[in-house]
Amino acid sequence: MPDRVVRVRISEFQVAAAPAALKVFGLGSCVAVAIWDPVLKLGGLAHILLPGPAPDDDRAASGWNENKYADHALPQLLRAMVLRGGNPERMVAKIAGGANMFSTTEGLDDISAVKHGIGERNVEAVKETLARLQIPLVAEDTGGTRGRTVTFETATGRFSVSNARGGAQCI
Amino acid sequence: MSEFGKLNLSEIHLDALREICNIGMGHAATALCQMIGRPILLSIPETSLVALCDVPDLMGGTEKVVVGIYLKIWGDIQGNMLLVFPRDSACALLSMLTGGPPEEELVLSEMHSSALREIGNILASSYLSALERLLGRTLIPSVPGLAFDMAGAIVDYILIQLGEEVDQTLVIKAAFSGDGGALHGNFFLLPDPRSLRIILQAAKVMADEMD
Repeated sequence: MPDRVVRVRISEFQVAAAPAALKVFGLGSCVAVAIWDPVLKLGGLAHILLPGPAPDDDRAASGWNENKYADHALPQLLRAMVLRGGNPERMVAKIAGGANMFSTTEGLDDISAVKHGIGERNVEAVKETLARLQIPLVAEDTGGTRGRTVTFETATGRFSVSNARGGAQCI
Repeated sequence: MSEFGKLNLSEIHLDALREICNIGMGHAATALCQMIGRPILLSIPETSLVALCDVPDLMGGTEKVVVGIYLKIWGDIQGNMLLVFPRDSACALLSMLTGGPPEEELVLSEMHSSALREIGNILASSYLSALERLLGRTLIPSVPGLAFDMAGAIVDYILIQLGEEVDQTLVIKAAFSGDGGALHGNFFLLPDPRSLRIILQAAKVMADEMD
């Protein structure tokens, strides 16, 4: 059993070693990305808000949080894991999220400032970034219209996803 | 407001905003009261300037299952409105409206969804038209969207829209209750960063007039 649970909030990532677990509560169109080094039993979890690309200007210098973007947060997460001794060649990734929470609404998608399918675009950006970093995606639970809570156990690589209807699965 | 992300708001501004929203909520509460035929109590609106990652916690628990009715605001002032009812309150509200007990089933029927959307529509319209008169600006609510899910999952849709431009947001939260506490909910207003300046200018004029 995990000795502690580290919560990962929007636009954050966290790295933890066994037996800790990493957790994201109430994920909608955001995407949770878990990266695991099975030998070291080291895990990282990122809570991605936007696909990116991260803006190419001086915002970062003024304290702008770039970890909200998939294309920025995932390389940073990988870097943090390597600093803890992780080996990218062993690492695998699992992802969840990217739902469309208001999909039943006629009209709203067309007129909303966010184009239809921000959830899908987040998932796509995460997959592209993982491919670029050469980390194989081994499991996913993405899309749909339901929110998710994700628990990632660093000791076992177990990645469990539950929803508000009482459904739960381990991928 | 500085160029990127950070917002600077004085206590006077926040006071004026609270006052404006209090009046808006008053109109919304009157509309709700007329619909259900029972008195509605209002709390004083709370304004918080928080990091986007802290917004889900303001919803009263990220995993709490709620009914969220979302409206985008267009016009001179743009932003996001979210009306949040805990599940029990949504059920209570539906039975007051339809005269019968709603089903125990967690999934809302299409009729229930449209009834709740209509409530959202009426409350948002009365809130916004009061703001329109006070601020002398145009505010147009979109078609309401409805989600019945974890509060955190519902609100991240709004945070995604704000996140392209800011790290922080102003959240104006107003709580209301009725029927001896059986019915309660929260009204959240999250202005778009570009519109915040317009609201604050209007609020400042009002604050000066109040002095």
